Order: sequence, then C-alpha cells, then structure tokens
Amino acid sequence: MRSQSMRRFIPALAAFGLLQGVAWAQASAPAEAELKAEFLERFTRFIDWPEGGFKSPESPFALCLLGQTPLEPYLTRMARTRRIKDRSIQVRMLQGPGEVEGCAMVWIPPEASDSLAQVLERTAGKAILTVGDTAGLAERGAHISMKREGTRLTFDINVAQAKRSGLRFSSQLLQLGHVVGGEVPP
Amino acid sequence: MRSWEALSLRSKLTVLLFIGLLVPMGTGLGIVAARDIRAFREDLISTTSLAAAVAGEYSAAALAFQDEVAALQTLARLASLPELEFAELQDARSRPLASYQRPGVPGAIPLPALPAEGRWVRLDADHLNVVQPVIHGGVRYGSLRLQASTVALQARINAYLLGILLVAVGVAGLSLGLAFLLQRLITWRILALAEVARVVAEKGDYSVRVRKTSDDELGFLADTFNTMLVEVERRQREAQEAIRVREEFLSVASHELRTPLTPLKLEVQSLTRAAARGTLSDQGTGLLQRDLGLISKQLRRLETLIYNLLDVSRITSGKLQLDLEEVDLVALLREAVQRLSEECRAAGTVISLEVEQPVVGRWDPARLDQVLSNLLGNALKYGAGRPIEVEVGQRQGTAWLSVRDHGVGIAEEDQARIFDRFERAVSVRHYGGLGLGLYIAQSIVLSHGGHIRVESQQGAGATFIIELPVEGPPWESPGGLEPAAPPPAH
Repeated sequence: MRSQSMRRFIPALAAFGLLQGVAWAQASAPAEAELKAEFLERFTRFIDWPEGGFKSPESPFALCLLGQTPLEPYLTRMARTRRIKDRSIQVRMLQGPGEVEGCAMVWIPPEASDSLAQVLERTAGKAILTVGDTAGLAERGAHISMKREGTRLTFDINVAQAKRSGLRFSSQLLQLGHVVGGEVPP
Repeated sequence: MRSWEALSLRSKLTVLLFIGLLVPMGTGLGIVAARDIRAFREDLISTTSLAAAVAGEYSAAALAFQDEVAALQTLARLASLPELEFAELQDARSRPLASYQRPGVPGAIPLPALPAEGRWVRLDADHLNVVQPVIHGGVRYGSLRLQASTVALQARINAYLLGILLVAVGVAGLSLGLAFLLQRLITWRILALAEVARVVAEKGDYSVRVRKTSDDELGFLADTFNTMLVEVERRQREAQEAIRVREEFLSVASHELRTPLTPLKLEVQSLTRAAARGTLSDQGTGLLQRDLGLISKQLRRLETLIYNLLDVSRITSGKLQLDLEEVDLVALLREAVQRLSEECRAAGTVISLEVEQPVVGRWDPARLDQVLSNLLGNALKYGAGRPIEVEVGQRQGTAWLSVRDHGVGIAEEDQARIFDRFERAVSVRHYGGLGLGLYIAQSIVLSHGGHIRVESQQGAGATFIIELPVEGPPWESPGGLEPAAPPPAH
C-alpha cells in the first residue's frame, strides 16, 4: 500500500523538484500552472472529506474546473497516473457555477472569480473544497487561495469556511498557510 | 600459595575482608552502574528520538509543499533541546530543505548511507545522531536528522562513576578498619601468648602464666597453655627430684660397695704377708678360719648388694621371672630364721615363730626367701635388740605372714614411700644400705599377685604384712595361660 503510493509519487516529485530550481526562477506560465496543479493534489493529502461525502466507495474524486485554465492539461495527466483519497481522479470542465453538484473540489481560475458568490451559494454546507488563485479569494469565502510571495508560492486558508463545509484541514496545512477569514478554529 | 602462607595474620584478615566486602559490593555496584549508565544513554536517545518523531510529524506538509520557511520554523523549535547541535530536513531525494546549526558548536558529522525506512539511531563518543523518516498518510516525504552532543551525558556518567568510586574507597577503608580491629582482637592476644612462650623457652621459667582476658577460643587457648605450663613445671620438678634421688643412691651405692672392700683388702693383705713370711701355718687353724670367715662374710655382703642392683634392673625392665612350684611357706620361713640365728645372737634378739600348720602354695621359693630375708633383716636392723614376732597363716585361699618388731618404727608420712626405689625412712649415715630391699620385696610380692603393707607408729615398732594367693599369680594359673608380664612394680 505504502510502496504503491511511493511508486506513484516519486516521478511526480522528480518533476516537482526540477521545477523548483529552474521553473520558479523563470516564472514561466506553464511551470507556474504545473506547480499549482501539483499544489491542488497536495492539498488533498492534508484535508479529509467527511464520511458520505462521496456517493459510493468506488466513486471517483471529481476535480472540477470552473472555466478554461492552464492547469487543465497537468491535471488531466495527473488523473491518468495518480489517485486521490484512494480514488481515481475525474477532471470535469464546468460550464457554470450551477454544475458544482457532485464535485469534491472546485478550481476557480481568475476569470471565474466573479462567480464566486454563486459557487459559494451552491456549495454551502457541502464537502466541496473551493480553491483559486485570485488575490483575496479566501477572504471572500473560498477555502484556499494560492498567492505568490517573492519566489515562493503560498496560500491563504479560510478556516471558518472549512468548518462550515465539514472538511477537516490538517493542522500541518493550517501551520503552513495563512489563516484568513476571521474566526480561528479552537 | 607460598606467598599467601608467608603473609601475616593481619594481612590475611585484610585480604579476606577485602574480598568478602569488595567482591559482592563491587559486583552490586557494577551491575547498578551498568544499568544506570545504560539508562542515562537511553534517556538521551529516547528524548532526542521523541523530539525527532514529533518534529517529523509536523514536517510532512513543509516537505510536501517544499516550504523552507515553515521547515526552518519547525527546526528552530527543536533548539529548545539543550543538547541539540544540528538539525536538518531532507526531502525524499536526500536534498536538504532546511537546516539548523546551534551557534558555537561543531557542525554535522558525516553519516553513512542510511536505510530508507524506519528510524536510525547512532550513539558514538561525542554525538548522538537520530534520523527520523517523515511520513504522512503512508507517503514518505523525506527525513529529519538530529545531532545531539553527548558532553552532558558523559559528564553525568563521570560524576556517577566518581560516586561509585567514592563508595568503593569507603568500603575499602571500612574493611581496613575492620581488619585492624580484628587484628587487635586476635593477633595481639596471640602475640601475648607467644611472648609468654618465649620467656618459658629462653629463661626456662615455668612459673609465668598467660593472662586470660576472655572466655572465647583464645581464652580457652590461654587456659590450655597455662595447664600445660603447670604440667611441665610439675614434671620438671619430678625429674629433678628423680635425679637428686639417683645421685644420692649413687653416692650411697658407691659407699656401700666400698665398705666391704676395705676389710676384705686388709684381711687378704694380712694373709698374703703371712704367706710371704711363711708364717701362715703359725697363726693356727682358729685364726685362719676367723680370717676366712670375715672374708666370706664381706663377699656375701658384696654379692647381696650386686644381686639387689641386678634385681632392680630386672624389675624396672619388666624381666623378673618367677619359677613357680609347690612350696611350704613355713619351711621357707624356718630356714630364713635359721640362717639369721648368728646375727640374732649378735644383736641379742629373739625371733619367735607362731605356726599352726604348713602353708603350701605355688610360689617361687628363691624369690620368697629374698622377701623373708629382707623383712627379717629389716626387723633385726631396726628392732633395737627387742624381740621379733613372726606369724604365718592361711584363710580363704590366701596365705598371710606378719613380721613385727618393737624398734624405731616408721612415721606415718614415710610409710607410703618406704616401698619406693632408693628410699628409706631413716638417715643413710646411721643405718647404711641401698634402700632397695623393700622395693624388691614389694615387686616380688606383687608379681605373685599378692600385696604387702606396713602398720607402724613412730617409736612403737613396725609390722609388715604379706598376703599371697596360694594358687600363685592369677595370670599364671596352672591352666597354662600365656604368662603375662607382672604388673609394674610401682
């Protein structure tokens, strides 16, 4: 079990390591997109979905993209080689916020950030992780928003929103990210 | 082993106490020390390992997101471990993500290639290294390495060993003190005993005594030693007395042996001169007979003396042989009285014999004659010319004979020793004789299975009484049992 996940993980990590030295310095778009795609997958490792969040044990992990995004090819490739929460990955392209039903995670690219309110309305009380990379997205109610600090890619976490949705964030993740959105979990 | 035997008692006690106290103590201290030192090491290892495990748990996200800042924060928290010198987070490809180096201490030491799985711990002389794999959700993200200094551990162990050493030195001192006390208790008293023995050996002083200071084994030794001294002193006195008696006997014997020689020599010289002058026949038969009678009397006296000496030698060497046969004691007595008739006339003494019937028994006639002659001779010698009464009888298988004189008698305190060798109750000068007669008489009577005793008072005469079994000595009965040696004469 462990060695299996290791075997799956190592090639990805190798790519990731390469990116770190070269791609970040150049800050080229494809590298940035790949890193963000990688971050999306890593977040799932430190977040637990509640029991019954999926229809059945065999249901895939639905990774939904709200509109066009450079992350899409990387995520599609990832869906072929990896699993999340021991489920196969299903990348879904959404036409609008109305289709979030059945997603485990929703990626909100900057172009779709205006429809955040609708997304939040649809996902309220449901175990659907909302992630984006628009500045202040977490303060406005998304769970996580990535941002750049110098050469580092960091992220904000809205803990209050996480509690409401029933998703359990690992303390390690909370330590790593910046907690925003007022209320700090006890 | 010779060197052990050459050690003084004190050294042996010390060595034994050393072994007896230090070996168990040393073993106990050694076991406790080994356990405690091991516990000290495990304490450091477990503290460091626990810190590594906890920090490793919180490093997974930092490694997953390659977050150097978060990694440094985690490592900086480990600085609260007082012994920590160096800490480093490596990713799964062993590339360092972040490291912490405590200021002013030497840096990381190189480590060998490590196994990919499980915690790795190495404790060497100066450093403890713990490498903790960082795993989250079954995925290995890298490893956390901690290097701690063992200086404090060594200082703790050294202080502990110093304490153990102090205890050991204390025990050694205690055993020395105990050995000294024991030496005072035992060897000092033994040396006192040896000092007394030295005085005895060098000065021949048997009157010294060991002072008894306790009722234990050494007190018993002192008692035994003193008893031995008393016995030695007694025997030495006895030996000196025996030598004195023998020297007196020698002087008496030489005097007695010389006494008959002078008249003998004079008579022989006078006869020789007469023969040389050719006047021997002129002297007349009566005179010649008188001279020859004197010579033969002196010769008999010499012969008796020499036989007595020979008898004493036989008796003391246990070679007194008896020729037993049917003998009439009365007949023997009559002969002896007859033989002394001339001396009786000369002394003006009458020997009266009271006999009812013959008294026959199995005895040695020659030896019994010796006894009778001695008793009668003594009665004549010490009887002061007063009458001598002799009685013989028999009752219940025992013949008895008594010789009573009315002479000087024997003091009660002397009665026991008159039967001893070279002893007499009266002074030598006055009466002469070797003092052997009664000793020989008693030896002969005893060898017949009988006994002899005296009843007397100073100045009131003496009665010697003999009792003899008529069957002869019981150990030489006619049944033909093997003749045994007679009982010791004295």
